[in-house]
Amino acid sequence: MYITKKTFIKPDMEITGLLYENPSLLLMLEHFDIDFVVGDKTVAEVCRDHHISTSLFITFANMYNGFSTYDLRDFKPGDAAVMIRFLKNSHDYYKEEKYPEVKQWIEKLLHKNDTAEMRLVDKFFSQYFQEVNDHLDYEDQVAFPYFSSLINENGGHVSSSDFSASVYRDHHTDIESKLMELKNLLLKHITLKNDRSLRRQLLWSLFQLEHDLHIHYLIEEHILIPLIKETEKARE
Amino acid sequence: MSSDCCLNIAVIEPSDMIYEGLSNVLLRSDIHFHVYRMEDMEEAMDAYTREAFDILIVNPIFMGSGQAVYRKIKKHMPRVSLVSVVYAFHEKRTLDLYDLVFQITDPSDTITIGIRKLQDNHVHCPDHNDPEELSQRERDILVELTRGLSNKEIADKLHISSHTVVSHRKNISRKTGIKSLSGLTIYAITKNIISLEDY
Repeated sequence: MYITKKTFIKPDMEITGLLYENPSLLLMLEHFDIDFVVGDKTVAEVCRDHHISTSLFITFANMYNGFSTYDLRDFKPGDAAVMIRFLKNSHDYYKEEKYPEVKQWIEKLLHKNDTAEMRLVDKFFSQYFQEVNDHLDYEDQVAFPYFSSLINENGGHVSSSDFSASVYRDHHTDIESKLMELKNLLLKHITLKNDRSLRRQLLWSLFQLEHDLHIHYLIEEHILIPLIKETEKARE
Repeated sequence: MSSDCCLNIAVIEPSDMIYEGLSNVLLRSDIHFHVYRMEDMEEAMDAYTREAFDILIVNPIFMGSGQAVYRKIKKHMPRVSLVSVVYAFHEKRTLDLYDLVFQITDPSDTITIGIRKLQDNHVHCPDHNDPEELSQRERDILVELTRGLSNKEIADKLHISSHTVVSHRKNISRKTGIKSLSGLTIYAITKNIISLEDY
């Protein structure tokens, strides 16, 4: 997940080699709807097979490798559809897999340590999970349909009035800062005498979640939304 | 975050021995850094667009004779500090372009001290003398916060200004890494600042 030896990914590199170096790219492929068994195919070949722009794939993949660089000129309005599919797939991963997994670790930990602070941690996380769900629903039901209607010229019209980029940003800041708080509580403050491996597994899940969430926000705020704004301007 | 304190160092040095030796000196120091080895100036400038370097250690042979390369560096990598390790003859006007020049005969300490001085221009390292523990005043305010009082109510109760309450709250969040009220309540219980019966 966190790697120190980072390769800056380029089109002629083999996907499998990159996966050996950074296994979190497995998750990225899943978000792209690409199976990870690709033989000796290169980045460019896999992109061609799946009708994904190579520069988009490379930008995202390099984010997983720790390079947050992007040039808006690399993207066309048509790429937004692929991005939205990618983001929707990651929503499923958060909702169906990662958050329930974290919740489960917290419940196990609470079961073994029925203390006031662990009960509050459980409550803290449940409320937080609810906020995250509300935000993901907002994206799925308001933001993405609006984006889709904008890029799809023949599509129906969805009003832009419900969508606000600043609401988006506030939600993101809040979601990331609460996750950080939870990590701080578990790593720095709450002392439990036992269950070290349970706590490690919980923290490990939180770090994995945070890593993917952070990239998710970078994509939305620095690539997708600016791209949508450009499209809006072009339509006016 | 500890990464705020981490220097990004790029090295353009053709000699493996010099490069490895330099890396080892830095590894044994207390400086936090990432090191990237580059083939030439072009690769360094390309890499800089992805990951800004704080320090560029470049052998003078890559600087050419005139100011052209230097101007290019300053244009593309405006914030970078230039450092060289000198083990051959180079003209003074070339070496004058550097922020810091090491001689091949310099002891390890000279290198560490030199880099550490440059470090202050680029990154902020946390002061470990700064206590993480909350002061009594901060604890008082935390208790009132967990009872649901607003900044204004706390100010009135403790006879201080709202501005002071806000500044204490900022310090509490910085020291604990927690901003939300529910998170702070968990913290306060963990540290026995309040007990569950208190609210």
